[in-house]
Amino acid sequence: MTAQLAAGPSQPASVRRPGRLSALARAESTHGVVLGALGIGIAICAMELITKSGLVESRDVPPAFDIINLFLSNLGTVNFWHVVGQTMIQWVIGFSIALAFAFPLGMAIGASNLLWRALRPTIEFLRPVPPVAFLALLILLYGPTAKSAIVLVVFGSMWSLLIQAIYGMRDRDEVMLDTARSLRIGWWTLLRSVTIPSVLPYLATGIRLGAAYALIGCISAEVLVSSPGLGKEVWLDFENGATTLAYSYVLASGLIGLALHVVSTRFEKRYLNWHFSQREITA
Amino acid sequence: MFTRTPGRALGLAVEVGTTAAVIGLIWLLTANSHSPYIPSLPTILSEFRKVWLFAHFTSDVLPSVERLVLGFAIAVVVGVPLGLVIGMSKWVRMLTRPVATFMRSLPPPLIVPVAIALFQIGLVMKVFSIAFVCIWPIALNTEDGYAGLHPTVLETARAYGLGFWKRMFKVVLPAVSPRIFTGLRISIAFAVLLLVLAEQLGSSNGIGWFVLYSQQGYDVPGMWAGILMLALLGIVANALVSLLERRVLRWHFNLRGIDV
Amino acid sequence: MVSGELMLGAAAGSGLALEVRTLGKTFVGRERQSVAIADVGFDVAEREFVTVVGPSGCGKTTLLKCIAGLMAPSTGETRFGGARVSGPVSNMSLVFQDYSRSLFPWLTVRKNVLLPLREGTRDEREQVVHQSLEAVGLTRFIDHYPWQLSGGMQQRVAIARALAVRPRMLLMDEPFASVDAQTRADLEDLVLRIHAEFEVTILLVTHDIDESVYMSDRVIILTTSPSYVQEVLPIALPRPRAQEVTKASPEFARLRTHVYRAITKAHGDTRRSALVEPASSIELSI
Repeated sequence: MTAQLAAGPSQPASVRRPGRLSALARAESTHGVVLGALGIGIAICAMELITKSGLVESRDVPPAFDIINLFLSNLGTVNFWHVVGQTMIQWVIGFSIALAFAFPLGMAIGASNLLWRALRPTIEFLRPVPPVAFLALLILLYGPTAKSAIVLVVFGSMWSLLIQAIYGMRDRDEVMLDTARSLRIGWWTLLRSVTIPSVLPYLATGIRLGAAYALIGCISAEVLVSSPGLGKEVWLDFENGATTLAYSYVLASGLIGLALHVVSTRFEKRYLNWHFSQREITA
Repeated sequence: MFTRTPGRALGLAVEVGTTAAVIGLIWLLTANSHSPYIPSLPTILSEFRKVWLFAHFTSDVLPSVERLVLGFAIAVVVGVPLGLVIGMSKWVRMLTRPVATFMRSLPPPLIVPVAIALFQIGLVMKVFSIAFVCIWPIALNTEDGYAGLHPTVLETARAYGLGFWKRMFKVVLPAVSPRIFTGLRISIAFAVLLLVLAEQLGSSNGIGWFVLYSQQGYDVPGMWAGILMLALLGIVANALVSLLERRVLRWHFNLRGIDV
Repeated sequence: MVSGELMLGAAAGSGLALEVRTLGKTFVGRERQSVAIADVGFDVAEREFVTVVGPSGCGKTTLLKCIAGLMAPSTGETRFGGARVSGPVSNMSLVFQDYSRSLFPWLTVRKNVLLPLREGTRDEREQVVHQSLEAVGLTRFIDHYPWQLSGGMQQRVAIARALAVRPRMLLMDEPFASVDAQTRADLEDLVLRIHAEFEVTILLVTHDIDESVYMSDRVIILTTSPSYVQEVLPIALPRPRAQEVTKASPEFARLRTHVYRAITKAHGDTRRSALVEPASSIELSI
């Protein structure tokens, strides 16, 4: 056994096992994987049972394996990627627009006590207005096009970015700001050394939230207004009775959402690691 | 940019003034708009009054509210215990982790076509759509809330011999309630979203339906009256949750940053 | 090794409230195993006031949790009133160090103290709450919330809550560690008063040497982890104790120095059982 220095005064003396994770740790990881897989299996079986038992009034909810098979074979088709691409392009464009204006705007508002005080009632009031409400208007204005989807993406995601930017600015350390002011630091240096490090975690959170809301906005437009993309595809497939195909696209959308969630959460964690943030918003 | 915090009276004046200015701006923009699809503010307001007070109130507002409340209530009643169970039991957590993560990643709008395929048009479809989507933020925030509990809180409860149910209701739930409310605030926004989608995709009444109906009939003022009503619904729903939160969590807000 | 007499306590023959026998606790983690408590055993007689001291990290809190039934020991057992402790016992009340997490912020002082009470009618319970709060001098704040009270006051509420169930024994885990010196002195005297008035047996865990000598009938000195009982020191100071008088006495000074030396020795003692890796560079933090 290797000699082990006590980690610190408050650590009891310990015995270190050579090299690897203890048996307990290994067992835990295996448990996790096994139980997780079991969970998926149970969910699939439950799905089969519910549809077969007639609890659900549908004529044809396809077997889970059919859905998965179709999804996998779709991965090789051009059409599938075309549809996914349509959604992603709208998402990217809309989200970029929102990012480009909402975050700087939020920073500007957050920097000024007066501005925030002035605009706060308006922002708090407008925030809970569902952007979907305007879809009918968008149909009239732009029809079933990508533009409608992009507009909805912008409106859906801008609030998260705006609010997070404001919070980020307002969360800057008072002491740091006072120090900077007394040292008469130029605005560029202030931005670099105080503002940006302080605001970065909030940006990360805003991006995580905004990205999710952006996808929601995009697909809402596709389902409702028939803008091109996954939503439209799912809706049409159901309408045409191609239920297995529809479900396979639902599965695909779920996986895309999952990928988005994992990536944005990792991205956020990187910036939240060192930052004491009291907001752990799970959406 | 360094600015001083405005004093009390000045602050109030600024708030009111800016809000008035914003409304004025909207008024101006809509009045001068050339688009046939954007009528002037007075037109919208008068149409609003005509439609919702009280011609279409019972036929559309009430059903919408009913669906919203039902769906949300189910989400809370299922989501909170679900979150607690997942939080308390390691093996339940491991069992449900992949499925729950997938479910919460499913884009909410897609639930509506699925719900229609499963339940056809009707109340069940709408309530299911709302409930299914709202369960996840509530459950996950509840779970996080439980995970964030300081061990001393639970140890005290155990040390003083509180039985399981007493522990749950008198200690765990209050302690986790701040996070539960975070979940509620997020969910209510989803609930309104799902309501609108469900009503516009598969309904014959409701505020959302009314908006679509007006739009299809090119009744632009009517459509806007509906949009305004939807906006109001979103605002009021959110406000109610916030108010409830302020009331129930008074003790928490007073703590100012001390987490339990 | 410690003589059997001292183990049994000054009031031997008056009945044992607590018997701790060869208690040990080992934590099994992902990569390592840590022996917090190697072998601790002692008795506490009825109505005795016993303090457990030791250097930081000697597992005092762990020991208390095992005794209280919140944690299962790896070896050995605790007997309370003759019966084996396998979970929290209704007659044994625990006062935690961290009152801000132990008192429930969503409940008023009244409701916090009321919470563990189960017997009697509503009125009877209210009465008990009043009495307990009176004992700690906080009846005026009965409908306040914990956040409205100072740290010392919050700890008093925690003590009142512990007393409300009229326990046979009080376990206290460094209860005064989180308050300032002045408040600490007040709280020490409060606990001494409670010990006398309510005739409870008290086991107090602390790292404050003065406190251990000032308050108790016996001081149990632990070694660092993996800990065992290094020494049991009887405190023959007269009761009732008083901050100025007692602490000025030469006997107090002698006892105090004795404990101090014992703990310093515990810190410096690096050669223990073969199971244990040498622990080095441990600060003396008292």
